Amino acid sequence: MFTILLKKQFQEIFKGYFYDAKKNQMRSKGSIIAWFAFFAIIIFGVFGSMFVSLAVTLCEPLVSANAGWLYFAITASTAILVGVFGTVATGYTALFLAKDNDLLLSLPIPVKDIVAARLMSTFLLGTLYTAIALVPALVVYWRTKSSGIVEVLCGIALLVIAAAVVLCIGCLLSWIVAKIALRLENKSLLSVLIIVMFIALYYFVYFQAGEAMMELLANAATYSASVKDAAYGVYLFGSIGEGNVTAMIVFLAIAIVLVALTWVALSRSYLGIVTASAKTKRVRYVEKTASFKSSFSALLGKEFAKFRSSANYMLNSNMGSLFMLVIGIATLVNAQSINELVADVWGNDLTFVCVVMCGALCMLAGTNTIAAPSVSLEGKSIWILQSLPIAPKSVLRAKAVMHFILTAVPLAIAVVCFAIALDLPAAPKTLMCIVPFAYVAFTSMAGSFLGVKMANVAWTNELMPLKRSGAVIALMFGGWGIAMVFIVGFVIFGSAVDATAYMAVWAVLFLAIAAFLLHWLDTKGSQLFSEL
Amino acid sequence: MLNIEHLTKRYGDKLAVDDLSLHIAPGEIYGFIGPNGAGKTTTIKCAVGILQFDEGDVHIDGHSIAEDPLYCKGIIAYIPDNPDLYDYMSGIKYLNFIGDVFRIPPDERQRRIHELANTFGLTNDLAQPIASYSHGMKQKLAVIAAWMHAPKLIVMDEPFVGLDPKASHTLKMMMRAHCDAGGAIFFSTHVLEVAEKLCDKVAIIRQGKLVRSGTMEEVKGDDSLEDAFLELEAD
Repeated sequence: MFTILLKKQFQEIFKGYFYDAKKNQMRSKGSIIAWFAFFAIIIFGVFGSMFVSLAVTLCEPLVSANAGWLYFAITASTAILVGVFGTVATGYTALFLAKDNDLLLSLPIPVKDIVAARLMSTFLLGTLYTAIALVPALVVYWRTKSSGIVEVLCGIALLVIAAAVVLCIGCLLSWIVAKIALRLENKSLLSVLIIVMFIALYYFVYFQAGEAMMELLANAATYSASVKDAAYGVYLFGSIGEGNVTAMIVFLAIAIVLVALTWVALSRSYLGIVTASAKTKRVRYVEKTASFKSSFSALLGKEFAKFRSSANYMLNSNMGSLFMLVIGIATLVNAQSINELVADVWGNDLTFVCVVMCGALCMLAGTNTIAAPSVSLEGKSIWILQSLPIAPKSVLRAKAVMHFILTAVPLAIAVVCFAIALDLPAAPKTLMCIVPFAYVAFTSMAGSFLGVKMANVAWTNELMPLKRSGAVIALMFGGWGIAMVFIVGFVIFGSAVDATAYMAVWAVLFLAIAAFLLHWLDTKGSQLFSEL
Repeated sequence: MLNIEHLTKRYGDKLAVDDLSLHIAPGEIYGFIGPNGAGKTTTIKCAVGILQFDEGDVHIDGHSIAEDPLYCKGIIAYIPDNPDLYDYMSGIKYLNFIGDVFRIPPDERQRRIHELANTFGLTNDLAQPIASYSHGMKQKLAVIAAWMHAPKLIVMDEPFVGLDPKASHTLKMMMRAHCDAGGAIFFSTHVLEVAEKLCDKVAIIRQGKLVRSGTMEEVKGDDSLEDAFLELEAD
């Protein structure tokens, strides 16, 4: 039973690699191999190489300072962090939000088997994430300090222990999230706030880590002695990688006990959590006369209601707004140093800075992809818009207008910050402030255009249109590409063209394309929408 | 009120509806029955302008749904077999959205919502999010939204699925009242007893083709509708 459930779990996790939901058919063998190759390249090639670089930087200096244990303490902790980060979301979804919980619980399968299968799949995924960070560290160590079979076996044990810790922390966090979710009412907004805080924390740690690492490497022996004195457990944990068999046995035993406790705790609370209904505050209906809205206002209101209701939508399609606010305020705060830098480097050609800043604002605004997934997000409810007396062009326009509003407002704040902070010539500075709005008009229309052109309303998970749709990818990368062309174009032709005129031409171009796309949405786009 | 003329709809190579013609007059409740996969839902979706068709035409109140879709959609109401409504809205927000689209004046809208929600016992749940509704509650909300703008023609796909006995009875009464007031109703159902008691006319479809249609007496003769249907199926 356990094997059957485990197989089902993995089919679920990798179903996108075997099944093309858009075409509603199984992928060809070649396509499956290509998808897995792509996965391997991303996971091991891109992320793996990052950790190889970290390991190479740390290994030699720490081993030379006789602090190999500190090297493993750092790399294994990093691996645990990566593992937890990778598994907490999938763990929560797989453990507590699985769509087949009701089905499995109705079958003659013991709850402990369901929990064990879910835990095993979470453990294997956690091991994968942990291995991406820890295996490079082990290999680099084995190459740096010639290692025997004991060191290799202990290294593998360290990976297993780290993966077990990841499983326990991941399950604990998932359990906490599940418990909180049962009590929350406004989940979407809170989810957005928590994830934004995590992102801020990540960047804070990322920027601090470099300095801390340099400090550690410069004074490896001192730090090694202090940590060993203050936290002997950390020393023992790290020494597993160096081949300390006793430490390996002790920590392996602790890991087994922790996993067993997690399994027992989850088995006992699982049924209660997955069958509990989330708390919904009973809202009393009070009859009142509604204010009358036009069809278009009603459609726009509907689009905003959808946007507000989904944390996934807000996070995946609207990150540009956050970046614009953060960078705008950061520019204002650091105005003096930025102006000094600009004067030092480009003192003779401040108009060039206007074009670059304008391009940067466009790229930030281009990170927003709100309109692109909006047609697909209609999903099974699309019959409502198709059966009501609403012109399809109004539907597509409403989606574009929402994109424009949600992007233009934070852009306006960023533009005001830039305008106040930067000492630049008046005429090109004015265009620097105007062009991004023309660019947003263009990306709003392009979002609706791509949304209807590449629509897929047959999704089973909201993340498919939000993360894996061609429309979103094309809008974001296409938008960035055009912003780059805008900057590079001035680098090439800047000596022959006045910056103000150059930006004015682009503003007209963006508006002209936006007008063309609007016409397309009103005609062919409407026809396509009717046929979805 | 609803004239379906030589309607043909293909999905790739598969012929889903084959040269189907039906005429539903004002005051008629017209039942549409057939086995699973016969083409009922496809016909209904073509009739209300959700699906484009390959041949033929559909006229509602004398206007072609293909040429004048907004007029046609403005005088009809459609309830699908599975009421996938906007889960992120509350019941009242959804009804107000429908009210805005059909330009129902606020006072009139409030009166109709009050009346219809009370009829179906849904008033206390109107402020709740639709995501928290059961299938039956969503079906009731879809019925309220359909009746809210006083359409001339109501098209429904399996409208009784998920409704409790009281709500089913209420819906049947409302259907009769709507047609007595000059409206028309075209609906599909698998519940032949309901069709036999409720419908003025009935059409039986099989593999996309109309196999029999007319008044209840013309279709079933001296047998029950179930016997007539099974007899046709056996042929």
